[in-house]
Amino acid sequence: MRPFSFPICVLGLVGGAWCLPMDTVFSLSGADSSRVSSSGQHQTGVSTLRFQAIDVDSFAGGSWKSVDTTSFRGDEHGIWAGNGLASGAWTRDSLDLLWRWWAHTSGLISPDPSVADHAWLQEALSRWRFSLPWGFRAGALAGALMERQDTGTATLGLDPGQPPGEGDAAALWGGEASWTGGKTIPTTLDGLVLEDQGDGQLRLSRRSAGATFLTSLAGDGSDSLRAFADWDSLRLRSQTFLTDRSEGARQIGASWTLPVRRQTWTFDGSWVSSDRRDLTGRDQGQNLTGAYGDIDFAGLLGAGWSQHQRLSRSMEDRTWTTQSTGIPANDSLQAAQDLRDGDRTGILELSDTLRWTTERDGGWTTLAGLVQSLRQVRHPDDPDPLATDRPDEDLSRRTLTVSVFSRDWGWGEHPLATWNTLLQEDVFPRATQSIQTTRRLENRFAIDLDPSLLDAAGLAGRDSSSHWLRPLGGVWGREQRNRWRFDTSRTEGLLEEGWSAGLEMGPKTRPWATLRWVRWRVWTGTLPGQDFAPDQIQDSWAPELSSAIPLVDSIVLRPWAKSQVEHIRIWNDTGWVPEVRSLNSSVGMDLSWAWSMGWLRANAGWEWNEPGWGGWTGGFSAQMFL
Amino acid sequence: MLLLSGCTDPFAPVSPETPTAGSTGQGSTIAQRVPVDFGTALDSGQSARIQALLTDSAQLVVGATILQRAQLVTCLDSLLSPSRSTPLTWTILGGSITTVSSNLSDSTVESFQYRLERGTTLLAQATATWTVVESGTEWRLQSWSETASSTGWVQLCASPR
Repeated sequence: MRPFSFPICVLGLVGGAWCLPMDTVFSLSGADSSRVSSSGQHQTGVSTLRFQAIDVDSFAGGSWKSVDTTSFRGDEHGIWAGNGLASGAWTRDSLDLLWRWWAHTSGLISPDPSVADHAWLQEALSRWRFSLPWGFRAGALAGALMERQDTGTATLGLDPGQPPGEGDAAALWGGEASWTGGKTIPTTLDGLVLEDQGDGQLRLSRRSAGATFLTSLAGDGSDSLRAFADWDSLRLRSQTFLTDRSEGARQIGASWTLPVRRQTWTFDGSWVSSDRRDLTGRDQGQNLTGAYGDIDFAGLLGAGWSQHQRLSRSMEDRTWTTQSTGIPANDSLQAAQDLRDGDRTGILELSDTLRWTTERDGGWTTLAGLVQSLRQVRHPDDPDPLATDRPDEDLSRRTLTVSVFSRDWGWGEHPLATWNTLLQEDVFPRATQSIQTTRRLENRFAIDLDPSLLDAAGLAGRDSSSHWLRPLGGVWGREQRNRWRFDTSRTEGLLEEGWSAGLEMGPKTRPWATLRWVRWRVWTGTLPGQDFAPDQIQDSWAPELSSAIPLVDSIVLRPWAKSQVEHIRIWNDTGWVPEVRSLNSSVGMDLSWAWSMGWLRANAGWEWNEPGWGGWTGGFSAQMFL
Repeated sequence: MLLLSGCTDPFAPVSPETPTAGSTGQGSTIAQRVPVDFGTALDSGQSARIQALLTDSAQLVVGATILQRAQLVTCLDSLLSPSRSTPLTWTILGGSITTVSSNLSDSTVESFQYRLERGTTLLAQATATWTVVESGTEWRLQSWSETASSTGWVQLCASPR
């Protein structure tokens, strides 16, 4: 939320430099090299286009950066809308200049020009940086804001019920300061005030302050403690952005990292208070107070074993405020509802992970993890909730995961085999809502085999660098049981099984053809006693074919085709009846071209669905460094 | 750390109170609350509550496409999958639900504009017409129709995000 960039100022702490809160705004972060890029997409009748140009150069004895981004979106009726942001920043010695221009337009190419509307907002800001006594650095800010709009019949007024204005202007002024120092406890202090001056129809003001400290409690640098405190407030009113809101946030926290032999302890704690008000009354205002804490303990145990434990606790209080409508009866009802909606939410989570790794037989890793959590939601100001009020809830989850990873037999970072058991209890404590209380037990397993399976088993006839023909394979399964505590007649069961098989041809690093066939079935039904009585079967097939054809050195053509067929059968007490069949298919071609100064990717295809829509899809993206 | 949970179980939920007689269903108390309760249940990830707001024969109709209750529930379950850490936000634009007709005492047709977001990503935005029906003392969604658009619910269910 704050413009202050902590990473930059951490570098400042380390390097003895200094920074100011508005540095990231004036430096146009992300503009590190000159380049142009563009992308576009068309699907289901909707088209999007995006252009961006970044220029990094020297100009008039200073450094110059500009970032121009424009995006357009056209719907199936051929009516287009667009957004643009152009920004330029120039820096020389102690002077910084910034100009930003936001614009949006809608109803382009519309048969009815009266529905079109256009709006823009410009900001010009200058900063003069100077030094103050005792090592403080400061900046004086001055600038202006201006917005204009050409409204159509579809344009909303900023205040409900009021016609949209034509535009306004405001002056901006302010200052900022920072201090970085301290040899034993490196410290950064900063503050910002940016105020607007005008008739109150166009507003942008921001105030912030922050402090960061780094130190070592042990005194020898083996541990590190970072503490921080931030305060921030924002007031923004703009017809262009269709917003009139105020926001505030306050935050304090600390993080302490302490290595002990081969283990590392990390303690994190923070407290946050924030408020948000939509002065147009379109959205509810929210106050949030939260306290967060983490204890993390991780390290090596020897003989290939390692462990990682993490305990997290958070507590948040939310209250809501709806803007007055001026109608007393409505306002009092809404105020009562806002009060009832206020909640206190606490989350406790413990994660235990044990890992064993060996380099034998190509490298194996076994991981066992247990994650336990409890999320508690209470509404302290709703002592007698209605069934339709936001419910008190305890969501308890325990997940046990066992995974095996193999460097030779598995898929990169994916496990070769994994087992997962979930026990979830979703409890609604209050009598008017407790009918929803459920318990879920779910087991999953999956096995994914790597193309080099045959090679690792010594069955492949080619050397390992070739892999001209490799099998792909995997199986998975899932069973789920849901029971309602107070409605024993209501149960749900789910059973899923699936497999995939395929072939990959060509060099392993750049296969030129892949054929894959996936099949899965899902049974859903009820759970009479310990049995499972399915009443619906979803049966799906998904064949997929893709290839890569190098045309010349850096141009590759990739034709592809994929389809998914789904049958649903329903049990009607006498037999299985085919009910629903759906088909989703697409075919297309991708083209990629890379050269030393950039790249281009394009795709085009045709998609059809039964039942449903169909049509052509296409897209491109390109970037070129200048 | 496992010992922390050895004596008392800090991850166990509280015991729920016995349901009151009036809470055996989970429909809405008045017709105009159905879209609001649907949104509240979406925001708080209560799949069971959403299903309770649908009649057994509920369906979504968009042009020639019809999603039956089972498909709608599958779509909702996907949207509310626990693997999706960012919650949904359902907004009834303008905060107004227009009653189109209520000729029958146990059926009401309502129209409203809605927007569904996950974080800052817009998932769906359309004008919906709901037919809600009364069974006993509660109201549930029977039919949900929209004009075909690129940002409607059918497109969302075709590729849940």
